[in-house]
Amino acid sequence: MRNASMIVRLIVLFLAAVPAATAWRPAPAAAAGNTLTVAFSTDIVTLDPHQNTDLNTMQVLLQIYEHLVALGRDGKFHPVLAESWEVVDDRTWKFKLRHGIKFHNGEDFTADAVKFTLDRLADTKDQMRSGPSFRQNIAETVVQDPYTMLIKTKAPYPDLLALLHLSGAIIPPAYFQSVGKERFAREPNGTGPYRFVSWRRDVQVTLQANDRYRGGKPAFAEFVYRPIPEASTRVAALVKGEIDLAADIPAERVKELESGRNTRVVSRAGQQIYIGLDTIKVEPLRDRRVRQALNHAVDVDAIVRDVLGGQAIRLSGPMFPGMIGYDPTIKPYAYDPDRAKRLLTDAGYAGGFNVTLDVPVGYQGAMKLKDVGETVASYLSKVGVNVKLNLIEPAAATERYQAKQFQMYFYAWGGDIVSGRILEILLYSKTRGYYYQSPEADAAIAAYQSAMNPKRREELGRAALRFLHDDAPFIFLYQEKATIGLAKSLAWDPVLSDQRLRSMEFRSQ
Amino acid sequence: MLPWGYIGRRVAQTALVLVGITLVVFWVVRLSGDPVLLMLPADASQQDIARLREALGFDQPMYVQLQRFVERVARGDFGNSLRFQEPALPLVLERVPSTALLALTALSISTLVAIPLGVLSAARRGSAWDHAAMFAALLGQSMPIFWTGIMLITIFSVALDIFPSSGTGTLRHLVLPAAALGVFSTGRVTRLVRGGMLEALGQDYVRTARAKGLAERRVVYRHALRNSLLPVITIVGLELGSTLGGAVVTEMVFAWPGVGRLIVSAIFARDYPLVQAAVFVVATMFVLVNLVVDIVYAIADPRVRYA
Repeated sequence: MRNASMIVRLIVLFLAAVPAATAWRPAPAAAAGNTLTVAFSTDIVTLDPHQNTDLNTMQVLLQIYEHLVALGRDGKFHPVLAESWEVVDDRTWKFKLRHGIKFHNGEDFTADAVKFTLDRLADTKDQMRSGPSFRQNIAETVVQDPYTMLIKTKAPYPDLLALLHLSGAIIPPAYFQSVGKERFAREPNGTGPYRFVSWRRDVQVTLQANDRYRGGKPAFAEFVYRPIPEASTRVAALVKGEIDLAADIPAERVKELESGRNTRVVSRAGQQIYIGLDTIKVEPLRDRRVRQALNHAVDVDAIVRDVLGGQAIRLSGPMFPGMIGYDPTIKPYAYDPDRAKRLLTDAGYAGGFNVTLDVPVGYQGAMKLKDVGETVASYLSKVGVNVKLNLIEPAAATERYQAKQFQMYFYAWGGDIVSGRILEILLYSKTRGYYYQSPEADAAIAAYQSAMNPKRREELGRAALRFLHDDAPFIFLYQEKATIGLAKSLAWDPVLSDQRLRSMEFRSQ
Repeated sequence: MLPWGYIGRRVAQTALVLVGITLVVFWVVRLSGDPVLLMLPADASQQDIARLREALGFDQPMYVQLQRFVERVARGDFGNSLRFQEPALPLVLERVPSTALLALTALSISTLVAIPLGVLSAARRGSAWDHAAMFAALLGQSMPIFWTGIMLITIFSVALDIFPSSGTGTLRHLVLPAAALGVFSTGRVTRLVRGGMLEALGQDYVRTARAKGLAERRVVYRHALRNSLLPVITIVGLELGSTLGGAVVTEMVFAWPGVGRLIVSAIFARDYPLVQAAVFVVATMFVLVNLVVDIVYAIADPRVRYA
């Protein structure tokens, strides 16, 4: 009788699937040839640029929206929607805006749009997700005339341009007010080279060239973003020519794509990986000599070469190459286990000590954290430091990090690799201070973060890096290279130094 | 005359199961970690974190959260997805057709392949055919779907260029994911058909059929197969469960826009409302199918009502 029941069960299921199957309709095939198709590991999250904190989502938003300025590969800020700017006094910036620019719906771009945008981001009631730094720093925005704008900050804030570059997508006030925030998040409308057409979740986002774009007609009539979660599938789609660009190529597939008939690989500056040390509660780690010893004990160059297949750049401290004040003459700690042992002996830990290292496997897509963790543990055991590895799930790690439950922990910092926020957030005691609090570091970071004079800021950056390198609040590891696979038929001349793609940088070849 | 008493009991049981599942999911996702920290950028201050937590109601004690949740769900509202900031339930429902299509196609493929293969193996027991088919079945059962999927893409998409590697849109997009998903159950069903056939072929009625001079073909298909199919149908029904489970992996490998992929990303983002809505929808699908089956079955077979 059970069998008969199963027959009925199946019939019911098939009947249930009939409406399902008819609701399923093929999407129109993309116009061949003149489409730029890019594939990333995750789907976009939202089309409201101010509610977004996700890097992949940014890859679509950056084609639709523009900011006042953009940071170029030369490390300088270039005008985009702003024409020029000047620092009026320590807390006041004046921006001259470009004339004759229209949003995709025909609305004129003026200072009102800039004011509307920045006020929305700085609003404490609405709590835009990309707004924290605007809320903390912007005091007032003033429209002087339709093309002149004053931005007043609460304190001297030299990172304003970096913030505008990272998170200040300019939105059209009249359109926003007429459609409301829900529809605005579904039907975005910017000044960028591509206008929004459609988004089918987990399938694709389709954009169409904005023929009136001020920078000239885009090279591709269509821009398609596809989320393909599995890396092997992304590689297959690239090799086969279904897509023109595949992000996040795993290190072990790089050679194959480099030697491929139709493919090549480029790498971009990615996130920083370090091992944080609890310098407050873990007795041995309170001693600077112990922290220096740990840095000397780990052969980071060998990890980069052998574990990561060379897809990373070793770092000497918590700053990124390209940041204002980054000093390339400060060298990373040399691999020197003997010196590490001497430092441990000096600090009174000749016999070593026990410590736990938490490894959030897959955290922010970080490469091979488990392998790196195991290698670090084995290096440290050679100088007598016994590391117990604790593999944890990334979301749980964020919580435990904040609850100050770590002794040693992997951490990744990406997205903003240009401003001084990495120092301010991670190492300034008044922002987090969970695992490291140092009056000297606070003074160095505060001075760096408030110096409006570029030359002075440069000097203060070098001083901060020098101090933090020596004080070793982390085991400094490396900056990942974000590896991107490209079709050979695609020429790419990147304007920016980080992972953010601009469609205008691409053309067929 | 419908068995109303029985139907009433079953409907009540079903509702109870759904309520139970919903509560368990509510509790489990909250054990798994705090979503607020994942939703804000690195530069968020403590105030930002506290404010968002308050806005989402996560600062309230668990029983208050549960009460609010129950009140909303009673109205069919699972709340907004934390990640997408849109109502969670429609986000899930729009994926159901894709997953149903994939799972049912996979099941159809595996049944259509497995039955002839199993019959052939049993009819020519010990032959090279038999060995080859059993080896293939073993292989199908042993290969993880993840690996099968990558192999299918490598061979049929990249090397032979017959099918697209991933995505959706045309029937050609459906072939590889459905095949990858179907391979596993194909192996199991083939072995079962073969076993059932071997048993049937040893029965007296088969010997009688042969003795009266029927063609072997007729003996195998008319007499033995029909009798050995009943347990197979049971298994195929059970396979539907594991197929829906395997759909999660298949959807990831082939970038198929189904419920499984949505659940995985929702879990990683600690998107409580979305996880809750998705589990509720999947559970409802199963439970409702079972309910309808049981009711129809009770109508067809009165003995069940009193069981």
